Amino acid sequence: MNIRDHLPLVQAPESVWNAIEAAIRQGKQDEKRKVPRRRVAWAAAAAIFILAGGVYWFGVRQAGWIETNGSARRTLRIADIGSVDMGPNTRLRIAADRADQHRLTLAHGAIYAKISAPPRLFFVDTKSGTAIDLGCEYAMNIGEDGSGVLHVTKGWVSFQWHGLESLVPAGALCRIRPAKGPGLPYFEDATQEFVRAVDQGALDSIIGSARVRDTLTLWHLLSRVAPGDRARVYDRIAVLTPVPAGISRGRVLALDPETLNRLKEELAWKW
Amino acid sequence: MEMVEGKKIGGKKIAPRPSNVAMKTARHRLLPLAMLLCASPLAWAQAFTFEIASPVAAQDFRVKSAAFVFRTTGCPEAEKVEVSATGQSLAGTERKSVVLKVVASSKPGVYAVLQQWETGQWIVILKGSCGQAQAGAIIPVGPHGFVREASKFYSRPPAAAEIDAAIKAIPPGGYK
Repeated sequence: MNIRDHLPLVQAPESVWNAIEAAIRQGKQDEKRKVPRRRVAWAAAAAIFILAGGVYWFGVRQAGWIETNGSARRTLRIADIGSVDMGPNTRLRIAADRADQHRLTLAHGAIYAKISAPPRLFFVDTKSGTAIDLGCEYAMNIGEDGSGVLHVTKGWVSFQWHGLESLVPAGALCRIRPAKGPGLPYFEDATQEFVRAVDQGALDSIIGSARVRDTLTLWHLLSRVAPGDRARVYDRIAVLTPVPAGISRGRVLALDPETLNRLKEELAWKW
Repeated sequence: MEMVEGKKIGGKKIAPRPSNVAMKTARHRLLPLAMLLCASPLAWAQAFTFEIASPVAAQDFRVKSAAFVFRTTGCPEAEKVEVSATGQSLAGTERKSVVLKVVASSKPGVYAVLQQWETGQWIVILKGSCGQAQAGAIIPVGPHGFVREASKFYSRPPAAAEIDAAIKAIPPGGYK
């Protein structure tokens, strides 16, 4: 049995109904006010999101640059393939750090890279071209104008700029020229006369003063001189060191890539 | 055009056919010369020897720190080639000798001699064989790698006297 069934029915006073109606009206007005507040909240969230995105974007860009001051040096580990020593006043950025590509951007300064990895895994971009590791150790310095020097101490480095390539082996160096890319590589023990001739681009002097080891430079000249001068360069190589059988003069002069590569590999046995 | 020997026909002089005697004489003179010319490249091709180079010649990043790399030439059957290397030095009156490990590079027939010796002045003695043919070399090594100009090559293993002479030839203070 329910006790509610035994209670008497009584009429509510008028004042109670008035109070209830007033309360209902107040509630509807509150709901109307809540809509603009939600909009404001959404707008604020969007603003915070955009602001955070902007801060992140600028932050990552800035944080990616690593700088040393006038006296500091710093060593960067390059995954498990080697290291890069930064000299004073050097600014660089890690552009890619993946298993298949490790890439730095060197804005200016000096680095010494020691890499032990298969070729074409480590790259350093500069204003005047890209140094591509072919299994090597090398020093490179770049000025703010993009000029510099690449000096290889072990293995090979390829320096490329808009299709122009210098292959620099251990013991050789190559000047890096703004808006011109890599110069002709030559061995550090080359004669002053030869180095002067290379710097001046004096073909006759280069050919005339070249030693056996300077076939490194002559080999690069083959693809850089005018076609009419190519035979002179090749003939000088052939005078300095016997060209192995199977390397055709005609194919070299036609700049056949496979023949040129074979010639370079054979010449390397005399460097 | 009619061919008439030794006569000028149509503005061209045709040489007379040589006599049998002249032909025989020429054959006697030319045959040995032709045989020599044919035999010489064969002889050169069969000369089994060593060739040395900077590690860059191996085109293999794994041997970039080697003291030098070498290959053999003149062995028609590359799989028969056997090579070994020994390091020797003279510190005062004491002679030191070390058997060196020869590392095969990724290029067939190209080997590397890694620096496995103490600092100082050393020479590396290479010995090789290709069947019955033999070859040898003495390679002085300085702080900056091998010394090409002072290296010596033989068609046999180097004799003890030649090794002694190479060690004694090291300049005071060593090769630069």
